Amino acid sequence: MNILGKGFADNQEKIKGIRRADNFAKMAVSASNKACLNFKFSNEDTDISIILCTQFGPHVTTFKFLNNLLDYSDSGVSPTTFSHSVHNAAASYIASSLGIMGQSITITSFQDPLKQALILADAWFACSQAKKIIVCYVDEESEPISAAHKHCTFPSYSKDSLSTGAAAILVEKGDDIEIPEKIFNPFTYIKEI
Amino acid sequence: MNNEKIFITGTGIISALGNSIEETFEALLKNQINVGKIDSFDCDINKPVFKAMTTSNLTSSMMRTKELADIAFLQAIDQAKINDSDNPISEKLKIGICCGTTVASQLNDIEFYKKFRMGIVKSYDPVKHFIAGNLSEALLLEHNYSGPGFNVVNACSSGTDSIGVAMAWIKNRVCDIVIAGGADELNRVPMAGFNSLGILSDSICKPFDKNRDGLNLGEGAGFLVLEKESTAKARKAEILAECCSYSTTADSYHLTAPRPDGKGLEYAIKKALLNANLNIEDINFINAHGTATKNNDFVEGYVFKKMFPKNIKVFSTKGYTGHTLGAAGAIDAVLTVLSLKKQWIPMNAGFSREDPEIGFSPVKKSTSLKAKYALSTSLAFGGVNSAVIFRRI
Repeated sequence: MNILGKGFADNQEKIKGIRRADNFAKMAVSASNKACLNFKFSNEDTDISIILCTQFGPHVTTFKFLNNLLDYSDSGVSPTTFSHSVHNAAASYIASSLGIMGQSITITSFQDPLKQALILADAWFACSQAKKIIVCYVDEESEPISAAHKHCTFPSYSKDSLSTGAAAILVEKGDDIEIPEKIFNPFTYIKEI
Repeated sequence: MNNEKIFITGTGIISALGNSIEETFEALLKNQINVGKIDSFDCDINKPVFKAMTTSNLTSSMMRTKELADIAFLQAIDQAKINDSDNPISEKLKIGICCGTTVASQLNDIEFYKKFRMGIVKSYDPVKHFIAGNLSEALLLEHNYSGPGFNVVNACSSGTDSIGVAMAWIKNRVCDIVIAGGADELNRVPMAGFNSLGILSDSICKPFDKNRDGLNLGEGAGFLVLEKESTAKARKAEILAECCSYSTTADSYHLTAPRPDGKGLEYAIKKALLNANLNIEDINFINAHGTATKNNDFVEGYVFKKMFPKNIKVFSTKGYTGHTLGAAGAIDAVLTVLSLKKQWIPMNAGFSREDPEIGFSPVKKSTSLKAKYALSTSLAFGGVNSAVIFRRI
């Protein structure tokens, strides 16, 4: 794969059209927009695809939804919070923010999410399923997960990259990068490639 | 790239229709609607649900999705005879797993979280179970397969998209065989969430009907074994169907509503046909997403009417299974393969009156037919439109 651009989330950025989005989605959009900064896609482009990968997904929003359930009952929860707790909300925001209509998939893997995303991107290029792909890694810390990591022994992969942020690359078919055997920290890996 | 055909050599299913392919087909033949009340968890929402039929003791809510997945997964690999130790080729195979889900991707153990908020957590086991319970990674470990494996969390199209991932992996020689599917349990979080969106029906759902007023949640799992032609033939596996083509598009429109002009779904179907070198007339029936919400059925109906001949046979199975979310596309895929094999399609349960705004009627009676190609569509939250085409063998 060849890298055409890369970007990291800027938490202070105010992005038009995503005011109601949660932090998880805002980070994903911010990083993806920066990765695509030098490219103007045609409107409703179906050749540009999105692969969003994560370990935990928008679990801060999930816990916010559970707060809703516990504080206001099953029938008193917020539909907006629920919508944003769904894992592929962030990819949906990326698609609408950039105006692209290609493939959009969100995947979870605890062991190696970015590597799995790159393997899929490589397969999509090989099958001519996409001309350019935004590969975005996003995760966030939350109190329950952080507390669990303090109190328990987990497999190393579950805390390798436990931090808040998003990093994205825009890639096309090519030979510039080879998919490594293991990506220990997606943020460091994207910085260094 | 590998240009070989991709065959399906095993299927497995569990849903409100039954605990196996055979039970499912029997129930469809009898037009059984096994709808009931929520009894797996406490909830102040009283809406009909489709609980999976099972004789096993599926009680632990944290692990229920995994247990549903296990049942369908084992059926599929048994039928495909993947673990056949007498077959010398079996040991050399690189096997991947791709599973769609929604509930299993979230740490939504309410009792754990309640204690955490109160500062009285004694055990972090629910977090451990959650991390160990990534369906694909757990199944890879349990069955000692080399991978790759991850979960697709594309909401309601996850099951269909996992089949798309499987096809891409096989075509790019990432692995020889992929077990792809989806699983989801009835759970308090989606129950409350879908209720808050105002799209749960108080009665049994009526896909494509004029008076449809929302969906019923369901639970279950579906899995398919996909492999390239040469592997299937070398293993002397029974071939159930060909998985011809898959395509997916993003609406780029709205977080929870499908694009009203149906352009995303239309693109997905056109691309799937193009990839399979097929024309619209080649498709003999459509297993539609058909959730019975106003928006979904309108958009699907609008696109089908625009693209396909007037006599195209369309049905939704949500009236039999409920909406099983991350499992839905996989369950639909298994039922589509079953329909092609049996040359028989079920009636669209719940439909009685045509909606003039949609302008077509789905299948009103279970029907025998001669079908070679079938299309299965899935639309998801977040504006994902996915289409997969199967061929009868």
